Amino acid sequence: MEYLVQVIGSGFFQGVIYALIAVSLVLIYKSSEVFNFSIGEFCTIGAVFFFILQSLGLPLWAIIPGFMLMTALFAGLVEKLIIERLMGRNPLSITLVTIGISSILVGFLLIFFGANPEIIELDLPDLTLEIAGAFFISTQVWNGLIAASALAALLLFYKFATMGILMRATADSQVKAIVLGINARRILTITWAISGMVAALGGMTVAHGSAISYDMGIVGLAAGLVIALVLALLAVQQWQRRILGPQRQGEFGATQHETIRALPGQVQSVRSPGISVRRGDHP
Amino acid sequence: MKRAIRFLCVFLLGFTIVIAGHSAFAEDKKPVKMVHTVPLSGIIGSAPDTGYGLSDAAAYINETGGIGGREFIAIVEDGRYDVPTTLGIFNRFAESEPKDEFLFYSQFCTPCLKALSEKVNQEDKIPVLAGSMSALIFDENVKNNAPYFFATGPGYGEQWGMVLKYIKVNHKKDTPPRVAFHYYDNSTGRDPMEHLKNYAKKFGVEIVMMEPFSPKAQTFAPSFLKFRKEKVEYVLFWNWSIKAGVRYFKESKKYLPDIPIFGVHWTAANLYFNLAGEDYDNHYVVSGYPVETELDNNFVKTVTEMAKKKERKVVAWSFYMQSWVMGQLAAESARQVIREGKPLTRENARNALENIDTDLIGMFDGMKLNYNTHKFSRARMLRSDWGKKTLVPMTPWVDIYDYLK
Repeated sequence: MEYLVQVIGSGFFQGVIYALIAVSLVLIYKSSEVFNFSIGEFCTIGAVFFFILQSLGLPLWAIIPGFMLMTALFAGLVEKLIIERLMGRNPLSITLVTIGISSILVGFLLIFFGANPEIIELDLPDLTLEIAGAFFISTQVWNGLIAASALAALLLFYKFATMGILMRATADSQVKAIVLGINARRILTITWAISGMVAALGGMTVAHGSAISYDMGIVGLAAGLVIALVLALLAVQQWQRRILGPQRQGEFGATQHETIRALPGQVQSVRSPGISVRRGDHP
Repeated sequence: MKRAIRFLCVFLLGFTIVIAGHSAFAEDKKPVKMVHTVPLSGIIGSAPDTGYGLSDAAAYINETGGIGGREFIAIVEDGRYDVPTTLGIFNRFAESEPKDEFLFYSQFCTPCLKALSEKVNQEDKIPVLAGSMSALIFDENVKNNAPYFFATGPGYGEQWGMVLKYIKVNHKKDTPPRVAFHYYDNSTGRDPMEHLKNYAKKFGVEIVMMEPFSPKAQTFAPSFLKFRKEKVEYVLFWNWSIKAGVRYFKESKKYLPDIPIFGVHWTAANLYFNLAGEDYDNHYVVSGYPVETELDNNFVKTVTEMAKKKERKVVAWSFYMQSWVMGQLAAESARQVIREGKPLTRENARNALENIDTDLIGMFDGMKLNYNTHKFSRARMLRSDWGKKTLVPMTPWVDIYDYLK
């Protein structure tokens, strides 16, 4: 029994970290159908930013928003400088570009951070748990709690915040969002920034459990691959829906790009399950 | 006419002498090259100190007279801890470099060493100084099966044997010590198992369980729970990944506070004090190398001074020192061939390595290395001491074969 509790508990605390990293991957996939293979490196960069701020002797309350913001800016910059220029191309091409970005980032990390591992320290109260003979150390519990809190915050953000709703609308259909006057380009940049921020938090929790090294991005990629499997299953579902039910894009009777050219400003509002957006609801 | 013929003969004789003399001079001036494939990237990460170690050893060798006046050249390549990459690098140099210059090869990858065995030992016949101390390669038949392979440390089998003997000698209870072997789950992780079982039987140690772990495991808690349930008294942690090691030490101190953790060469590193902090305290390890803090050891003094001179920021000193030793062994064996008045060939260098007469710049506190078994005969048991922030010796340098009798 205690072994079962130990395995389930450890699985939960670890799984919630992977879920957080996976969410950062899904954010980008849902908004642009791009599978971001460099997500692992965003995790590493986040952890490295944390390490830099910690090395500067800043207090934890300043480090936490600081490293997330730095990673968000970095991710936004990557989107602006590289991804934005490729918009409108086949998502598979952009996905391949993210593999290149991943390799470049690993190289930069090796040059600027170095090959030797470093650690990050969080001075937090002891939360060691002992349940039914199973034992969970404080670091593990804190990492799980941080990841779970971040997931909950994301959920609330996407449910209630205006920006979150706009992002969901854009994710649901870029075409609909654009014709409603939502600045999809800007939303995409913000999505990358938020994705970077989430990945940074995931990277920090992974590093907190062991050490930061330039190649720890493999953890993020491992989580990403699991998600890729899930997305592949979803794609099958969509394909089935296309065969059996109405086409999502077929509502406009054209491809996305043709629709943008043909129907600017003609649609005033769109309702999708769980999302209600009116023209002009943009920041 | 006669005069012209005489002149021509004298000219040809002179020309021949000049050419022969030049060739002999060129032979003397040929460099000795050592190709060194190390993990600078790839699945186990980057260990740049493995590269710096040989480069700095080469500088030291050349500063101290080279090899009978010949330059020692270290060629460092990134093998990525990957078999195809490493084999590709080896083949490239084996084909492009002259056999009387490319005299030594060294590397740090057990699977690569296994893959290279036939090519090295039967075709190219080049002495290899290996970072790996594989129990399966460096067994009692190594001289017949892999005559060109030399480990730069005691065999993994002997190291774990020494751990078991140490446990048995220091065990306070009347019942046999209950030991768990926790190993990195791949062929190298399983490598010393047979030796471990044999030594356990010999010394009366009970191996309660052999538990594998994934190098990517983010927690070892389920395994630790098993150890507690099985009332394990000692854990043998067989690992060479630094990141896995950090996680392990951090967790084991919390889950198994009263169970000593034992390791071998790859967890004998002061860098764990920086990464795992106090959780690295009281870890017992067998190692064939001194510690960088032992500045009264002449070898340590020499290598640390060179690292300082070269402005290296060495972190993994055990890697750095091991690469140094690879260069030092190559240079010493080549010098020995020259001293014996033999031509410097791969075959003669191999024979010299097998019978090498060196104390490795005083590495073993004055004792010499017996390399007849193709692996180190000297080792010590060390213990990590958080108070002193270094590994401290628990035994003097011993002849590992005598210790295991």
